[in-house]
Amino acid sequence: MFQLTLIPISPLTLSSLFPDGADVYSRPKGEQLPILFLAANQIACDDALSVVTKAEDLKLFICKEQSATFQQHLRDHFDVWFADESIPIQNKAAMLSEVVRNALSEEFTRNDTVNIVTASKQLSVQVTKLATDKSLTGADLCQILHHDYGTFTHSGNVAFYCSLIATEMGFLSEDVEDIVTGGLLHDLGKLDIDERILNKPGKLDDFEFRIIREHPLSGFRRLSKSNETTRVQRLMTYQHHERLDGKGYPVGIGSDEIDIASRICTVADVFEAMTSNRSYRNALSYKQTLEIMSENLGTAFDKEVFKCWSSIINNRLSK
Amino acid sequence: MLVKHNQQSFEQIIELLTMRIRLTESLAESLRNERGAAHTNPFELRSASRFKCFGEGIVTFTPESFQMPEQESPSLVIVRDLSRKGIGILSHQQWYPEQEVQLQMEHATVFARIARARRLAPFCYEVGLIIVKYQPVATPS
Repeated sequence: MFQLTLIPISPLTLSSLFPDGADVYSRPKGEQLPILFLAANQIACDDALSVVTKAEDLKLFICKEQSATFQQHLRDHFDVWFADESIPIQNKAAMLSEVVRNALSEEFTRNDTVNIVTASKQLSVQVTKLATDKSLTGADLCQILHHDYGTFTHSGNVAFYCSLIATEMGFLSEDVEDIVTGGLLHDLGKLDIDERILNKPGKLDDFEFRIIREHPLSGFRRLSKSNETTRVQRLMTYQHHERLDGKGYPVGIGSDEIDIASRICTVADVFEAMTSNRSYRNALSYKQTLEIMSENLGTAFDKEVFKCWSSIINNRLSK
Repeated sequence: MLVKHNQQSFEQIIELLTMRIRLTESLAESLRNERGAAHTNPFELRSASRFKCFGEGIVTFTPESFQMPEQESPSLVIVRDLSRKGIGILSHQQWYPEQEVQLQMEHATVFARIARARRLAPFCYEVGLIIVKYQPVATPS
């Protein structure tokens, strides 16, 4: 039997300006088979867009074979979309999220540090622009981003979260850009870890855990060989598993030595990991995650950074 | 003559630098007593056995190395163990992987690359160096 391999896309990527370049499918609740929602050469009409806007649990997909075309389409039109003031910021965020996810996926697969750094710097400009637009809330972002587990999805999400925290904390836009790039690069060292360990469904044994704990070190090594990376980006990669009480890794430094950008990355990283589906567990809710994280303030997480992130997310919960 | 001259200048420089490493009592105790081959564990992937020692050294950055603004150079360190491929030191400050340094000891100069660092206590870091070039002080023929 013919079977489609479907990849989820954000419904907000549909545009009334251009055809999507790929057949878009939806899967109605309770149905096994997907149905064609919008053909590749069709421009989404107002009716289709209104369905997308109103249906909160609508899930759209494209087939794997057309993924490259779809991504190329997003990249080709992104600048036009981004400049168009009639397009809501939420839709722009959805498109950018797809572009970031795909660009990182491609570059991480190629495994070339120079290209990954270049792509990350380019992407950080747009992510920062988006974060400085006050009409985009943490609520919007959490809803738009994918929450599956893949190093590139995770890195993209962490970068988006970092952009909101850094902007909210009053960092200058060039510093936010620097931090966003660091967020995109923070797990670069995982490229040196065997996927069988990274994606192991069960509990890691001591040896595997030791291998996993090497990733900040190997990420830093990769970045220190590139003249294109900044101190902030290198430290975010190196220190994002350090804890204020000195019980983190790889060095075990204390609060006075952990850079503020790394503290931001730690909060974003843990929040993203806990609210994403993993092979061995389902995602936790935002509320549960914030509660668990709040029990570790001052020991694992910086109070000010957490407070800032918590206020961004709580806006969502109170809505 | 050359050896003597080198020893004198090494001692003079050492005297100019302040030892800022803060050793805990237990660490100081083990430094006094540790000698011979170092213990190892099944997770270590070392290719050469390490031998415990105790001595002072001066670490400076090589011109090619990157440097973090908060790092001091030169810096007085304790040399704790040696192997054919690496050196273990204790330092009061953090060193970062891939930094390239020169370690001056009484009888040798070592050009090395930082492999890793681990904080043992405040102002006390255990740092692993990979030897790039070992240069003993020339002895008169």
